[in-house]
Amino acid sequence: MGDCAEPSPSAHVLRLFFKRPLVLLVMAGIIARAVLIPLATYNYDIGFWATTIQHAQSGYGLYDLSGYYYTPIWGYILGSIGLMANFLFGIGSYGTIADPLLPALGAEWEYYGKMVVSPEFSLLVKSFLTLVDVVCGYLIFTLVKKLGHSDGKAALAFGLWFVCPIVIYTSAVQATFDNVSIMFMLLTLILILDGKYMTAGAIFCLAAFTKFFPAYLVFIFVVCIVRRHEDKQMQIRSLAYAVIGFLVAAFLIFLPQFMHGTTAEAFGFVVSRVSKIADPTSSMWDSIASGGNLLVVALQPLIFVVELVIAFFAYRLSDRSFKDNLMILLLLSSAAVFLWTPTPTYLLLILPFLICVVAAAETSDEKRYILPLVSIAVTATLFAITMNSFALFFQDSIYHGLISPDTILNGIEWLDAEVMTGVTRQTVLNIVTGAAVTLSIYSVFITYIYNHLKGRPSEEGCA
Amino acid sequence: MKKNMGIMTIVVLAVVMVGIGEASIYFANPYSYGSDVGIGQYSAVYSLEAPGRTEYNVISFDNHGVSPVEELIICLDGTSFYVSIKNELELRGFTNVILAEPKELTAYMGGDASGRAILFPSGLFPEEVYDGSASDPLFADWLDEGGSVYWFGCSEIPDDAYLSAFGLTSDSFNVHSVPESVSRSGEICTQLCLRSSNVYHGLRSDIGTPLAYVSESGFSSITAMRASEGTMVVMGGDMGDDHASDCAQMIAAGITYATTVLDHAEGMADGSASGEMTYSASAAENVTVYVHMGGYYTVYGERFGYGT
Repeated sequence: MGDCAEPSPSAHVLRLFFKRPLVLLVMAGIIARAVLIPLATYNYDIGFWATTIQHAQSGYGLYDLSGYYYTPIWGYILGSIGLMANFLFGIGSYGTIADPLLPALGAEWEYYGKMVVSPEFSLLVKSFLTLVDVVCGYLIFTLVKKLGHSDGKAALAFGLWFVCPIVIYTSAVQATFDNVSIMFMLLTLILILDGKYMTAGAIFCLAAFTKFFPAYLVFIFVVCIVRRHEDKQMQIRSLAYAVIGFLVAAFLIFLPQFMHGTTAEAFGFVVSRVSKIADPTSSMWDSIASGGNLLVVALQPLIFVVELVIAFFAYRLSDRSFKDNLMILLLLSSAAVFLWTPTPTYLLLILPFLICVVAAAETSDEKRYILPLVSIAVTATLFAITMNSFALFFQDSIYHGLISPDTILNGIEWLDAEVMTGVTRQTVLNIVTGAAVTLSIYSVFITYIYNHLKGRPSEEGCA
Repeated sequence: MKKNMGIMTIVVLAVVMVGIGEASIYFANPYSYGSDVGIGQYSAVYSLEAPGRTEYNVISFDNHGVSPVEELIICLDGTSFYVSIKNELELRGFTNVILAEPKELTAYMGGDASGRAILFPSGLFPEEVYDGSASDPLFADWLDEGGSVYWFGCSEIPDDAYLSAFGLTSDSFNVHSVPESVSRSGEICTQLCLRSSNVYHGLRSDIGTPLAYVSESGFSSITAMRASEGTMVVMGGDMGDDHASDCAQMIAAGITYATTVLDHAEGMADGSASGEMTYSASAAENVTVYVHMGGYYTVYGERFGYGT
C-alpha cells in the first residue's frame, strides 16, 4: 500500500480558514468596505461634514455659521477628524462643485446635490466610521459573552454585525454617523451591566446627543439599573449616580453653546423636521415626506407609551426571565422607536439587539428572528440605494473619470420620468422600498406575537 | 478584568476624541491664516500663510471706478439669519457691519452713500425706506448717491409698479419653484467658488450681470445690476446655507455691477504660498485683490485695495 499523502500546506491553511466562519465573515466585511469606500460615495451628508469642519477651522464654532444642524457630539468628533485631515494627512481640498452634473439639479428628486467631496476626505471620514463598526462589533461580542453565551456565539454576533449590508452601507457609502451613537448606546448598556453607573450615565448622554434615538431606551435602561439591586436604597443611589453622570456630561458638552448663546441651534435638527410638515410641496414625494413628518410627530405619544409598557413589563419579570429576555426586551424597545418609516440608516439602532438574539438563538422561537434580521438588512439597504441611486457615482465621475456624466444624467432622467401624472419612477421606487422597510420593522413585532400566540414563549433559553 | 480594560479603553478614547474636538473648536483653535498683497499699477504680489495644506484662490478685479462696499448695513427682519451673514463676513475680513431696525435705516441713509450698502435678508423692502412707488425718493436718493442694495427677496413683488424705478417688473423674476438645471454664469462664479444655484425669485439672466448660476429657463441665481449710481444685487432661492456664504463672499470681494476679473491664481498652500499676477487695469486705483482659502469650504478671506 502506498503512503497516505499529507495535505499541502496551502490546502491545510484553506481548510482551517473555512473551519472558522468568523474569519470568513471578517474578511468579507473588510473586502466589501475596501471596494465600496473608494467607489461609492453619497455626497449629500458627507458634504455637510466638510462644511462643519470648515466652520471649525474658520474659528466660528458649530452653530455661528449655518450648515450644521445636529447636537454637538458629532460636530466635536468632526473637529478631531478635521485636525487629522489638516495636520496629519495634509488634505488640502474637501470638495468641489460637480459642474458636468449640475443638470441633475433639475430633477424632481432634490437630494442629488451639487457638491462632491474629494476622495481623500471621504476616505478619512469613512475609515473612521469603519473603525467605529469594528468597535461596535467588539461591543456586541462583549455583550453576548456578558449574557452568558459561548465565545462561538459572541464571535458569530460580531460577524453578523460586520457583514450586515446596511451597516457596511452606512459607514462605507453613505458616511452617516449612526454607528457612533450605537457605539455609545452599547457602551452604556455594558457599563450598566458592569455596575459603573456614573460612567454609564455620561456615555448615555453622549449616545442621546449624538443621535436622539438611543434616548428612547432610557426607560428600559433604568429598569436594567434597578433590576441589578434588591435593596431600594441601592437602586436609588445607582440611579442617582447615572443621573449625575448624565448631567455632568451634558453640562460639559453644551458648555460652549451656553457660553455662545447657541443652545437652541444645537437642537435645530428637531425643529427643522417639525417645520417641514408645513412646507409648501411641489411634488408627490414632497407631499409624502410632509405627511411622513406629520406621522412621526403624531406617533410620538404612542411610542412613548409602548416604551413605558415594555419597561414596566421588564420590571415585573422574575430575575431569571428578565435575564433570559433582556435582548428581546431591548429589541422590542428599539424597534418601537420606528413605528414610522425611517431613513434606512436609522435602523442600526435595532440591529445589535436583533443580531444578539439571532446569534445566541437555541430554540426555534429565537431562530425565527432570523427573518426580521435578513429582512431589515436587505430592505434597508435597498431603500438606501434607491434614494441615493446615481448620486453614488458623482465622485467616480468628477474625480476618477470612471463613469461619464452623461451616463449618470441619463440614469437620473430615467428615474425622473413620470409613470403617471405627478408620480416619477423615483417616487414609486421610494414608496415600494420604504413600504418594505416598514414591513421589516413590524416583522419584529409579528415574530414576537407569533411566538407568543403559539404558546411557546420566546423567553425560553435565551441564555 | 481584561474585558473591563477593553471597555474602559474605548470609553477613554471616545471621550478624548470628543474632548479634543470640542477644545479645538471652542477653546484652543489651532488654525491660523494670513495673507499680504501689494498692488501696483500693472501687477500684484501676494503671499499667504496657512496651518497646513490648504486650497487658495487669489483674484484681481477691476471695478472700473465703481466703489466696492466698505460699510454694510443689515436691515433686521425678525429672523436670526443676519448672524450667519455677519459671521461669514467677519471670517472674510469684513467687519464694518451695522445692524439696524427698519425704522433706524433712514438715519443711516443720509449723505454720501458711495461704498455703502444695505442688505435686506428677506421679504419686501420695509415701508420705512420704500413705499413701493416710483416716486418714493428715499431709496432713489440712496442709489443716486452711489449706495448699493443687497436683496435676498424670497418673495414675489406685489405689482409691476413696485420696482419699476429699477426697470424691473413681475416678469423680471422667476416665480416657479420647481427644481431647475443650471450652469455657471462665468469667471466670478468660478473664482469666488459661489454655491447658490437656486433660481427661484432670481432675475432673468438678460438683466444685469449673472454672477453665479443660470438656469435653462433663463434665470439667474445671483445678479448684480446697475441701479442709478449704485449696485443692486438680487439673490434668488431661499435663506439656505449657501446664501449667507455667497453673499459674504461677494461683499468681501468688493463685487459691483461693473466688476470684471483681471487675473487669478489658485493652488495648494503647503503652509505658505506666494506669487505675482500681472494685468492691464482701467486704472490702478480700480484694482482690488481678494484672497480666499478653503475653496468651496472657505475658511479665510481678505480684500486688498490699491495702495494697501
